[in-house]
Amino acid sequence: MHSVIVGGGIAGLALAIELRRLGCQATVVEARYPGAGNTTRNVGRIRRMQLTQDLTEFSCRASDKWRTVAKLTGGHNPLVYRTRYVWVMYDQSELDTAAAMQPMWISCNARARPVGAAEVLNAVPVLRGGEPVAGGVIGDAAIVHHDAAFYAYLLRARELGVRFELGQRALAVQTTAGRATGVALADGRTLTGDVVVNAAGGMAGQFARDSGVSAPNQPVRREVLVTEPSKPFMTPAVTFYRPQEGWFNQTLRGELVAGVVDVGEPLGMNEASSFRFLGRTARVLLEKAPRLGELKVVRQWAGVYDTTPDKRPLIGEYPECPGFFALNGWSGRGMLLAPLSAELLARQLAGRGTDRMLEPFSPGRFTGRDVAVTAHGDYYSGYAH
Amino acid sequence: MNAESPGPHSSSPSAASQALTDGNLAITRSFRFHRLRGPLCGRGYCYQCEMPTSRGRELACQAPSNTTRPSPRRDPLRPLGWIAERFPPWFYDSQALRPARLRDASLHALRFLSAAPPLSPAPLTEPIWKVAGRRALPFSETSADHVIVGSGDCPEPGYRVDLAEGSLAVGLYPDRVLGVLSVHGLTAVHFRRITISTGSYERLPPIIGNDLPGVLGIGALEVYGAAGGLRPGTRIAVWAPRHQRDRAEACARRHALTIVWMDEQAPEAILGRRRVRAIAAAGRIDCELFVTAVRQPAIELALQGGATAELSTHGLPILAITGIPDWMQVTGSAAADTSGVPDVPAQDRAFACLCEDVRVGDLQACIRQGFSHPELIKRRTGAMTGPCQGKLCSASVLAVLREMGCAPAPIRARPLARPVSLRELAADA
Repeated sequence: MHSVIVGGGIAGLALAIELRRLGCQATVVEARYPGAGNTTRNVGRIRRMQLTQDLTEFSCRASDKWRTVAKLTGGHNPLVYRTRYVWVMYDQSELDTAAAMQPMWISCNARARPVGAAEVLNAVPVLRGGEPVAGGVIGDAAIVHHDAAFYAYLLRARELGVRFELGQRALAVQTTAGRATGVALADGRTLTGDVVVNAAGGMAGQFARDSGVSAPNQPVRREVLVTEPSKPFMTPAVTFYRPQEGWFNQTLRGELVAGVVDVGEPLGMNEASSFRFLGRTARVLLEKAPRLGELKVVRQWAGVYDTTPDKRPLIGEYPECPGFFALNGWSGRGMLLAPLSAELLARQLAGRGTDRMLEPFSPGRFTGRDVAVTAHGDYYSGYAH
Repeated sequence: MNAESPGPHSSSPSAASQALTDGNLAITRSFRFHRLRGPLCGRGYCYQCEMPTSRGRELACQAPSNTTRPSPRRDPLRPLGWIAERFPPWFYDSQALRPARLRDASLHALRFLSAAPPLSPAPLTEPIWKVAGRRALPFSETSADHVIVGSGDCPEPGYRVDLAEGSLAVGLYPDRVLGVLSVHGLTAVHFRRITISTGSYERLPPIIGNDLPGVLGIGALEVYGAAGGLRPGTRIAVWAPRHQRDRAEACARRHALTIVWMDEQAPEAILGRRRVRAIAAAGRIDCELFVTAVRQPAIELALQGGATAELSTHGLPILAITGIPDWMQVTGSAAADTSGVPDVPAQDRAFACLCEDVRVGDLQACIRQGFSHPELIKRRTGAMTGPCQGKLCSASVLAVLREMGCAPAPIRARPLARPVSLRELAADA
C-alpha cells in the first residue's frame, strides 16, 4: 500500500511515520521546506481541556499520545515538557461558561478546574498589577517546542525510509474511474499511489477544491511576536479571551512569545506580518501584565490556521472521491491533534478499522448543509450550539 | 563620522566608552554559554552590550556614561555554560535527558541555566490601563509619495525616517507600508516609492576568538574615540580592505592609537581569555583591540520589502542585494556588493552567531543532519533569531551552507529592523 501525502507539516510527517510503522509506503510532497507556513514556532500547546465534549475527549487522548512521541521518534528529543495551562478570565460570563463545563471536564478526565483570582495570580505572577482578574481555569497541559518536535519527526521519517518530494507543488489529485490514483505535480510528473492524503495545512481547502471535491476549510492568518530572552518568570501557558483572544508564554530559551487576535481578521491566505499587530499586542499585553513592558520585541511573523465552520478537524475519506483522504482543518490545534489523528488514520488506511472517535470529524459531515467559515469574532460564540 | 552609520550616535560618552576607558571590556554574558561579551558595533545594532539597568534594559553603547554597569566577571553559572557547549546545537537530542521521567524535570531546570537578565520586579511605569485618559500611544496612518530611510545623501524631497533624528523604521510591510516609531507614536506610512540608505554593518572574521570582548567594529572605534573612551597609545590590530585603510589610519591618528597590525587577510586567530590580548598572524602580535573594518550592507529593510540578496562570489562572502522591486531604490553602502577582502575558510570553533552562541561547527553538524535550508538552520540552531536578527551572522551562515555544497536558497528577513520594547510599542492599534 503506497500513500502519497500532500504537505510536509506535522500532520503529513506524523502520518508518514505511522504508515511506515505499519509496513506501508509513504511519499511526502512539500512545496516549500518542511513545516513552512505554520504559526506555532516554539508554542505548540498540548491542552486537554476544550469547550465541547467531543473535542475534549479527543484532546485528552491526543495529549496522552504526545507522551509517547519521544519513543515514536526514536530518541530524537521533541522537547515536550509538562506544565499548566491558565485560562485567565476578566468577566462573570466567562466564569459562568467555565463553571457550566466543569462536569463535562470531570467526566472526560480533562484535569481542569475553575479557580479564583488569587490562584490565577499565584500561577502567573506577571499578571499582578494589571487589569483586575475575575478568575480562571487551570488545567494540565504540555508545551512542545514546536521546531524540536517537528524535526524529531523529520529525522525519524528519513530514518524510516519515507520518500520526500521537496520543493514540489502538488496541483491536484488525479483520478481513474472516480477513484484517486495519484497527484499531478507542478513539474509535469504524476506521483501514483493507492491513496492520496490531503495534509496541506493552510492550503488544504484549496487543494481539495482544485481536486474537484467540496471542502469548507479556509485559511485565516494568525500573527505572533517574540521578545529577547529573560530568566524564567513564568511556567504556564496563558490564554485570555477578553477583550479579545490573546495568549503568551515563555519558551525554554526564555523568550516571551505572544499574540493578540484581530477580531475582524479576514479569511484567506495571508502570511504577511502587519504593523498594527505590534501596537495591538503590546497594548493588550501590558494592560494585563505591565511588568512585561521592558521586554524588547525582536521579531514578528505570521502563519495560517486552517479553519472549518465547526472548528473541528477533517479526518477521513472525502465522500466525493474514494481513495482521497483528509487530514486537515485543525482550526488552530494542529500540534495537539496531528500525532493522534495520524495514528488513527494510518490504521484506517492500513485496513485495521476505523476508530469510533474519528466519526465526528468525517469530511462528509457538511454535505448538503449550507455552512461557511466565518471570521473570528468572539471566541466563545464559535463553540455555541 | 560616517554619514551613513546606521544608528544614533553622539560624541558624548556612553557606558560602553566608559567601560573602554576603565579597561573593563566585558559588559554582559551570552545567554546560553555564559561567555563574556563586550561592546562591538557602537551604534546599537549588534546587541552584544545590552545590560539590565534601573531603567529596564539598555545598550551600554547608548546609555549615559554614569549608568551603573553590571559586573559580569563573576558568574557562578559559568560552568553551566561549559555544559551547554557540550550540547550542540542548543540541547536537542541530548542523551542526558533520559530516562523520559527525568526529561520534564531537566527541561524545566535547563530554563534556569540561562544568563539572560531577569524581569524587573515591578513595572517601571504605571500600568497603562490605569493612566486616565491616555491608554496608549496613538496609532496613525499617513501617505507619502516618497519615503527615505536612513541618513545617506538623497537629494530628492521625501518623508524622512532616520534613527539619528529619532524615528525608527520598524519594518517594511506588504502593500508598501513602512512602520515608523517616533515620539508621535506608531505611524503606518503608505508610500509610492522608497529610498533605502541604511548604510552598512561590520562583518566578523570567521576565526577563533571572534566573540571576545575587545573585538570592535570600525564604526565603534570612531564613536568611542570621539567620546574619549580610547586611551592614547592603545594597540589595535585592524582587519581592513584596502579602501578602508585610510579611514582606519585617520581614526588612529586622531586618537593617538598604535596600529600594530593591519591587513586585508584575516589573522589565524584572536587570542585571549577574558578579552582580546593578541592575534595570531605569522606569530603572536600583542594588541588590546581587534578592529574589523570589513563591511556588509544593511539589507534587512530591503529584504522585508521583497528584494532578494545573494552571497557574493568574490572574496569573503557577504550578502548583497541582487533584485529589487521597481518602487524601491537602495543607495550608498547599503547597495555595495563586496567586502573587499580575501576569503578565509571558516574555523569550526569560530562563532557564526553571537546572539545565540552558534559556532560554525554547530552549523556544519546541523547541515550534515539534513537541515540544509536557511529556514531550517535558523529554527534548528537559533542562528539569525537573536536580538541582532542576523545582521552579524546571516552571511556567515549562508557561507557555511555554500561551503558544504548546499543549493543557494533565498534568505528571509522579518520585521522588526531593531528590537523595540513592548512599552514603546503599545498603541491604540
